[in-house]
Amino acid sequence: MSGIRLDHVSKRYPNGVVAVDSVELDVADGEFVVLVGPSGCGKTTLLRSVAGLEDITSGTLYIGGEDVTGRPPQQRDIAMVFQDYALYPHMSVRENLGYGLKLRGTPRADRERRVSEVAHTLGLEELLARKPAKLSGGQRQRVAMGRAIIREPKAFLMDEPLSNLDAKLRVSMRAELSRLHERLGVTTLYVTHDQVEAMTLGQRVAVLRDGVLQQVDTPQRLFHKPKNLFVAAFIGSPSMNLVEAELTGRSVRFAGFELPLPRGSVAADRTGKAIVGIRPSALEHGGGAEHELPRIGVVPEVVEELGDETHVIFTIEAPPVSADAVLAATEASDQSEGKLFAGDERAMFTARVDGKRTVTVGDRLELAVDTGALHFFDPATGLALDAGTRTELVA
Amino acid sequence: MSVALERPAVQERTGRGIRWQRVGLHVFLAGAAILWLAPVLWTLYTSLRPFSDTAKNGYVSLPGALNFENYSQAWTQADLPHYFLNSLIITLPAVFLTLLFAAAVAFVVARLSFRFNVALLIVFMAANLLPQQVILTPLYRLYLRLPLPEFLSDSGLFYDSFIGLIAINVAFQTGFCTFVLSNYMKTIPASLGDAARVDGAGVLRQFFGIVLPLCRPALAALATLEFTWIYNDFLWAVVLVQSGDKRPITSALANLQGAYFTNFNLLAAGAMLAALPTLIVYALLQRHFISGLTLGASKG
Amino acid sequence: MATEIAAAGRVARAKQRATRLTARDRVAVGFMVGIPLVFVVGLVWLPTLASVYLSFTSWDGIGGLDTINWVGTTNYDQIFSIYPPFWPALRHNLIWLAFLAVLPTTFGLLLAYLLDKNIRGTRAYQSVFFLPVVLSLAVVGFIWQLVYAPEQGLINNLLGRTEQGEVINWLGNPDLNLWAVLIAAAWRHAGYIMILYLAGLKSVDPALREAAAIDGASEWYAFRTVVFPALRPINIVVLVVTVIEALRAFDIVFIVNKGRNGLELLSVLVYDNIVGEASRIGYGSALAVILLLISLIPIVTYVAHAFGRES
Repeated sequence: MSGIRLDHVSKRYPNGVVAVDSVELDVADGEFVVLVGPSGCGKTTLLRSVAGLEDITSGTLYIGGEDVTGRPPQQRDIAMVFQDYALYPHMSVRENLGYGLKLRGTPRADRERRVSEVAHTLGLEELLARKPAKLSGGQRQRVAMGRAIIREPKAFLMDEPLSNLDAKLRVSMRAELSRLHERLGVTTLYVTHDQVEAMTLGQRVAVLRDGVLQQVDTPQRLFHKPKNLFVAAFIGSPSMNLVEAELTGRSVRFAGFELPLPRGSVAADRTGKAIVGIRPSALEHGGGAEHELPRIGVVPEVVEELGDETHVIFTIEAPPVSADAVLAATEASDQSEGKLFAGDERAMFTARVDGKRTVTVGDRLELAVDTGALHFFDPATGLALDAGTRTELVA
Repeated sequence: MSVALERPAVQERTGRGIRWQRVGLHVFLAGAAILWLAPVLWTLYTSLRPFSDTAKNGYVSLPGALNFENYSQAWTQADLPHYFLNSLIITLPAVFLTLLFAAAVAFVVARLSFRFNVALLIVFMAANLLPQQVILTPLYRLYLRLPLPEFLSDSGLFYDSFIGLIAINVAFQTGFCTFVLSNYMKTIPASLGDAARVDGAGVLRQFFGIVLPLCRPALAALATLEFTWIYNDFLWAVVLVQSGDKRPITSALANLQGAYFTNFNLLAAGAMLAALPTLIVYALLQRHFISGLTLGASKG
Repeated sequence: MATEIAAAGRVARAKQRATRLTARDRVAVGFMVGIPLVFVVGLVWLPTLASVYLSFTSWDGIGGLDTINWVGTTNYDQIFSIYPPFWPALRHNLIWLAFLAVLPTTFGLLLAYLLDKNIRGTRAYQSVFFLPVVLSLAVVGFIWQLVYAPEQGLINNLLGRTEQGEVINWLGNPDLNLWAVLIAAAWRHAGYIMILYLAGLKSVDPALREAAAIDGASEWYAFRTVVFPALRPINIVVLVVTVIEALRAFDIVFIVNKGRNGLELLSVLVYDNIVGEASRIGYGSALAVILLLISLIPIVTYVAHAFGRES
């Protein structure tokens, strides 16, 4: 029975800063869970606490069913892959791979056998005599993985192992990591700040903000059913379009548009202010969409043609949402970050339309809105409106 | 760093101007270099001239003959090999111990976090900056009283013993090396230490197996510096060693002066021989020498 | 079972820290720090404290520790009033400091600046100027004796003054010998400073100089306004090194004439008072303490600088 369980784990620094706030997380045996969040959210601290490189101030940590809260790293039967790989520069690949086993007193014959096996699995056989300085980025990454695999631990802990690779390599290594996990089936806790990586690698993804776990779910559910503004704004690229709106009970009004709500929408029969979220993919070119869907007329300011999809960026007559959650999700320190020209107070929306359609800057365009896919959030709490709870919205 | 410059007149630089500048530069530097080498060259010259030659013609004269007579004389008559050996017996262990101690303390200070780290570093660093005379008296008296087992010291005391000299050199030089090494060790990524911890390495393994091998450049630089400084030391030897036959070569030179004070040629040869090891180290390892000094001066 | 564990976990505050060093590690750290500490504290700091203590006592060193008697500030009073070599020695140390700070230091800076231009032969020039630093001060003292010797020395012979009446006694004449020895010390000091500044110049961002050149600054102007200010950290080190060297000066002077007759220095006075049969330990210690107090200025400066930048 393996797996990692965090039971109300907190880490508080002597100066009072709380890096990890009462996190409860259950990683099942063999599961690949990704910990994601903007920089400074505490994900690396949390990972290091699981590794034993940092102390847990309160709560309990279980690895493989055992309480390891007070144990030093080498007694937790975990292996870690670091962001900069942390390969010992003065040792050859062979020695790097075998170091952990050597320290644990594994007999030489066993050690050499395991090193050959791992080298074979990862295609490192020809590199065994080389030193890390003479390896490429991708090769170093594989050695780092090999060092973790060879110990056959109860869990892998990975700290942004792909972020030092260039873009194309990152994509191919992502696929390799998935395949490796498929093959070895070891419980893995993986940290990244890149939500695309999180969505593609994780069987489940845990979103962290300022040390507090926001939501732990499958990538699909995170995308389609975000629990709060932060998760909604953080997950998805390009980000979800957000704006303050008015609910009338049967429609939603914002920026001069009024969209009728479909029957069964969570916002049906509600009145008051809410924040509405529209994923870029919920906006379609008016020409090809179903007739029943409502349209909005916009003037594109920027058109990014990517081949099989086109991003249409336009402003709407409403200010951008300035909630802390949204700012935190986009890692902006204030409203003006991300804007090259100061003084433009209107929100910018992005639509993802079919790349075969022609869109021109300045030419008025009709976009169909999939009102069934709208998200609504309570402006006061940031929580997603949900059919179950009928909280009163501020009028 | 922003600097506001007013706009001075743009300087016209013709091709001609630059060439003259360059020539002037070379002339200046070459002249200064010759002036700089002059004393050493003079000593070398004097050492190569037989005594009979200079006795006849005076020292500032063209050479009659040039040979190594003085050198062989200094070597045998002045018993130089013996003093060289003394120097080696003192210097080599001292360099080794200094680096070992400094590396150990630097490791604790740089890679482990204790509250006393900064205070510890100051204790070591400041020790290196004190003028030697400040501790001379008590050290002298201490050495006269501190016992050593007979097989380690003829005198049975720290005074007048190799161990005594080694000890004070180590104590005095460790500070500088600790400072340099701790700065250097800080540049080793923390993740290496983390990886070693996860792999199961304790403090000693981390020190000897991971951090120390990675400090080789700094250790080489410091070894070069320390070898030169400890070899060149004069004060400790003069004060703490009484019997002439235990003295290292630098202080033995002073004795030589007393014995052969009219024979400048011989003394010159002796001085050149005494300087030889440091000159050889310098010639071969100049790079390390300089990097050691700059590591110590700049900060991280 | 799971709920029980959960309940217990929720209540428990972490009892043991995962990052605590194992017992074995703690012992190792103890030795790694402890042994060097014994050396440094035992052979440097305790003697320093002892020096301070002894400066308030009178002791001839021959009797046991029980013959030490406390005399308060008597030693200091005597040094300042009736000890003939003291004021000259202090004056000489200060002259030494001023000389080193002005001449070889600026010359070293000049050399570094010129050699930083990477002209042909830079390496060779560097080696030449740095050579004296590598030599033992005893050897340096000896070399310069050859140069300064009255009848046989290089200078006098070049000047043609080798006859009895005309000889310039560089090292014997108390008006001249300090300066003669200072030239020898400067000969050595310049090379040391040159290396420090060379390293400093290399760390000055070349973009700064290029920007200045594009803006049309002359070389001297650029140096004054851009390069020199960027050297501030090195300047502090240079200053500290110079002061410490000036206070430490001993070897050359000792080799020449054991520090008499115009070559008195504080360091030699300390030596005089403690080595020998009729030693005046208290006196020597008081002199040493004066030396210590003066050197605390550069030491504190350096430590503050080194650790100021740390935080």
